[in-house]
Amino acid sequence: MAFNNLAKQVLENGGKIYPLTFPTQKKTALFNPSILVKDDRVWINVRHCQYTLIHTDSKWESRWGPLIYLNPENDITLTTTNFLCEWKDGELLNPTQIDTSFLDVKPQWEFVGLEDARLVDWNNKLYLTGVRRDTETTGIGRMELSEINNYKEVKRFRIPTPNNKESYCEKNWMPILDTPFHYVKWCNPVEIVKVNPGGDTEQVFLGKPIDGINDMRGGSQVISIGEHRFCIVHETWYWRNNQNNKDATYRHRILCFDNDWNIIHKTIPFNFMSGLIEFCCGLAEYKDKILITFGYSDNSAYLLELPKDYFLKLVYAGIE
Amino acid sequence: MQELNNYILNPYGEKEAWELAEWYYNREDYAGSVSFYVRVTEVSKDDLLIYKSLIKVGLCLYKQGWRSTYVKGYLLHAISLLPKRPEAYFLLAKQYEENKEWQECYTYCEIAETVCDFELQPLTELEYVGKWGFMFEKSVASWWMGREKESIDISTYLYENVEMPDAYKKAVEGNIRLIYGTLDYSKPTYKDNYSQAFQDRFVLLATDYKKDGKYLEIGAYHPYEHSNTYLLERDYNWKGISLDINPKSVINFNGKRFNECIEADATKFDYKQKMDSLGWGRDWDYLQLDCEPAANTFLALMQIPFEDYRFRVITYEHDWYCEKNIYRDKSRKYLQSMGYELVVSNVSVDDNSPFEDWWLHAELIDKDTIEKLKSIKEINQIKKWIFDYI
Repeated sequence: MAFNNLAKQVLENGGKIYPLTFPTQKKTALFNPSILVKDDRVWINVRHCQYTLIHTDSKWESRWGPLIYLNPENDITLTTTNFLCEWKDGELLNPTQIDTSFLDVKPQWEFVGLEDARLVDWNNKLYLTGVRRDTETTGIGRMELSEINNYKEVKRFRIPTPNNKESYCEKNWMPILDTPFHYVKWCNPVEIVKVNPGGDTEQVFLGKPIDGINDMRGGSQVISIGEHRFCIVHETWYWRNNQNNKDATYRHRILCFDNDWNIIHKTIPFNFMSGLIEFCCGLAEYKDKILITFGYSDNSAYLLELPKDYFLKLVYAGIE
Repeated sequence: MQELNNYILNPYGEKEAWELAEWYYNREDYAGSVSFYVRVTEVSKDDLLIYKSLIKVGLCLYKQGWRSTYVKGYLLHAISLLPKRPEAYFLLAKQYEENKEWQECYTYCEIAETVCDFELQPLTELEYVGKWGFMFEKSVASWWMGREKESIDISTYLYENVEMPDAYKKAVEGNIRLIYGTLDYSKPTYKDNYSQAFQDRFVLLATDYKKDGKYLEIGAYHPYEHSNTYLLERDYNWKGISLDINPKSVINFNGKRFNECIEADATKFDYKQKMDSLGWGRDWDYLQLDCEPAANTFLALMQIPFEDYRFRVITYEHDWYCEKNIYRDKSRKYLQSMGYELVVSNVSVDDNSPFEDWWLHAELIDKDTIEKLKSIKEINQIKKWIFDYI
């Protein structure tokens, strides 16, 4: 069982949804936003990319199939830049591209930049943490931790894997906001790692697998509300159609952990607003509300605002 | 935001998806809008709405730049859905035009003009300008396909008969100015002139559009580009002899023209022997003198057997504008001494480049014609001059 439209449920229960958009030079995609509340102000990072995703199950698919990223013909790279903004009264204020020039080196692979960056405040420093795949010619991906000061990336740390040093792509680790430099790396089984900036990464917890769950890949940050911690994960289905063209869908779940990192509640899988490709990398508590930020079809970005009581009810009682 | 809320409440509604797509489109957030136009194509049963959405996907990708292949794909989808509607053909032709794929541009215009039902209410919100848009695209494409006459005819038709938005109007006016040098193009047509500065038209004017004339062309260069004799040969059946020192030019010329071009140094050529051998009579109709540099043109002039042969018209290139040489004055004295009258002096294609004098033989051209054509000035901007006569 899956739920196809969480946003509708939210709107019908006192919540709101806001588009996160601002003018970009090339009129290209803003998506996969992250959110952080710091000193009573709401900050949002929005990913920008020059690709345009077209995903359809109609007969009007492109000649390359139902799921295709349309790149500019003069640029095969998938280049990500990040825009940091304050969010106030339903609007994004002063969207400013993070200046990475101080630490940038010539990209070695086609996917360029820090992808799906989550906003983190650890020890009173602001970080973006996401995956970077442009440092080697093979596209190996590793999580990175970038310290941001006044819209500039001032430090960059490429996080080693804790055990499988040969893994190809490490991404979507979920930063635990109340425990500096700790991530939930994976959720089935739950695996928690501690990052030592400048040093190695340690696995500090490994739970037991849950039967019957496809996978639970990272998504949002991990936040604490009351005595529990929460995050939003995603599950993926990839396949090829009869023409051997790739296709995929993602679905999400909200997870609730106890103090021992046992998953004590999980919602049924859901889509945010009926998209087949949606992605969440932002979760925050703000006053009496829960704010969830997500991307739709890798082309647009939204903020879903839920009454906190309703959010907790969703998780504890399940989405119905 | 109402459009978003409506979509959330009914994400499989065609109206809701369309309105949200339009909201993004109007904000120029083209990536944002694509997903929802695509949703319309998935859920709608209304072919016209699907058609519009497919085109909008194409327009979104177009406006993001450098996605031509994808743009064309979505426009082709739209055409396959409603092949009698013109909008997608027009945008497709426009895309091909921008890509300099002239044949494809022209072909889709032709198909559209044949297939489309232009009685249908046009969807101008899809950046479709109307039926004349296909003519505009054809005027551009046909030019680059070598169909110059067609291109010019269409451009002049559009200029004279169609109310167009400023951008198109300026483009058409620019094309006409490029061809004619002026918007006052009503007298000569481009087809009727191959010379650099209407020399062929001048020769025809002076000889009263003579058929079966004879010419001696010194410095032929190209068989028809900037050729003073191509029109005479092709349309007025003139015979003649051309000279050029460049062997490649001679091969090219002889491959494309019926009249002969001889590879020779014009300053040393035995004109009398050649002209005697042809036996075409004492009076010829046209002598062109155009060598490089101006000194060589004068040396060639000195070789012409004026005692034995006369020419009704002479065009003499002195290149005064670039060399400020002595040969303009020397050639004038010489030709006057041979019985020729300077009729158009200091011919220039613009306001500042006098490069040629045009002469008529006082005994072979009647006085009225000489007086009628006479224009002795420091600069004869030839486009302005020629339109008074043709």
